[in-house]
Amino acid sequence: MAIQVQTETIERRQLSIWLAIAGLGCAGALTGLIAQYLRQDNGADGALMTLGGGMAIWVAIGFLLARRTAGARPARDRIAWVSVTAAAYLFAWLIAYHALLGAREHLGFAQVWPQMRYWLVAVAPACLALGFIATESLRKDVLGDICLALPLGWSLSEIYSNARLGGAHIAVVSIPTLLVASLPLLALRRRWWSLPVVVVTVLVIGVPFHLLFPQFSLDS
Amino acid sequence: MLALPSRLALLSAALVIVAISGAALVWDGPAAPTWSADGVVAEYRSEAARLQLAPGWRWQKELSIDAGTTETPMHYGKGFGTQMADYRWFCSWATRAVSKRLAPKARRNALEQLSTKMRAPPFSMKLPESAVAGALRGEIQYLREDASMCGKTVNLPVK
Repeated sequence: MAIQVQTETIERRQLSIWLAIAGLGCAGALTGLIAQYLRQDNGADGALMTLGGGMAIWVAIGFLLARRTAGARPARDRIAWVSVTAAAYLFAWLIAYHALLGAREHLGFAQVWPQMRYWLVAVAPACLALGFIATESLRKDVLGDICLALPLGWSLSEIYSNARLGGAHIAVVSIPTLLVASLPLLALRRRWWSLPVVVVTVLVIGVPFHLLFPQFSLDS
Repeated sequence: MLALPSRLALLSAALVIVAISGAALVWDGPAAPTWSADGVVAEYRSEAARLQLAPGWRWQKELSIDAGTTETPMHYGKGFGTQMADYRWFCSWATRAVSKRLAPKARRNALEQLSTKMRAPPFSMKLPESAVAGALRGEIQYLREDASMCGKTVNLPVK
């Protein structure tokens, strides 16, 4: 009897893992399509195009979703499984984004592949990083605070660069990116040192990133 | 799949990720389909058959496309001939839309022709739709700049 219950529990857990992977895959495909759709829209002085071709907000959405699955996973192999769900999101995002690009620009696979392939290569290390950050952001210590601040850190460059381009870019790119990247901070522990930890993390990650890749986007 | 032990399932998922990323790293992808000069001309003619140029314009009878040599023939990306035809169509109507010698009504008709057709697929290339949208709002300068480029484009004599 005990063995049967244990087997059922394991199977239920496995099912929830595969459902989480499928869910993040669907979410990635949907956001990838939205991003490419925006990428082709030159409204709002090109701000929609910038938002669609940006990276920070879409990766931050992936982080939020991966973090949600991390909370539901058992401790064993949690980082590894969350990395797999992050990979599902990133792969689906990239494939949907480039598939819509090909469909709308009348490009064949041979023409889209060179643009897409290096981002696919980047998914393997990126999903590990995202899985680690999303899982460790659940910790109730300084490392947890740092992980919660990282999305704002990698978004800082895009927020700042677009804020300098005027009202349309501020409204369409900077503010939405800032809001999405700040969402994880709602889970921040209310300790006096949490705020300095966040500020330092954002600056340590954001400033060098901005200096190294001032025009970072899917087109670069 | 559900009955797989967790570690084995995890290993399988990791292998899939590494396989996709690894394949992307080493595989250059299929060679892009190409045309010879004859293929470009055929594409151009096919696209020209479905588009109507502005009054006073006609499709070129001869296209000056470098065929290369027998030993080293030139290759063109598929869609190149279609793009050439689309661009000529755009030039014909854009030039008309910004012409100061035409009555406002004729210019407006040309703009509407551009606007209507460019929104309807299939168009092989991203034509400067924003310039047309701007012109419809009264900001004609961007379309004028685009139209002024038409005469300078290789292989596309204005008339």
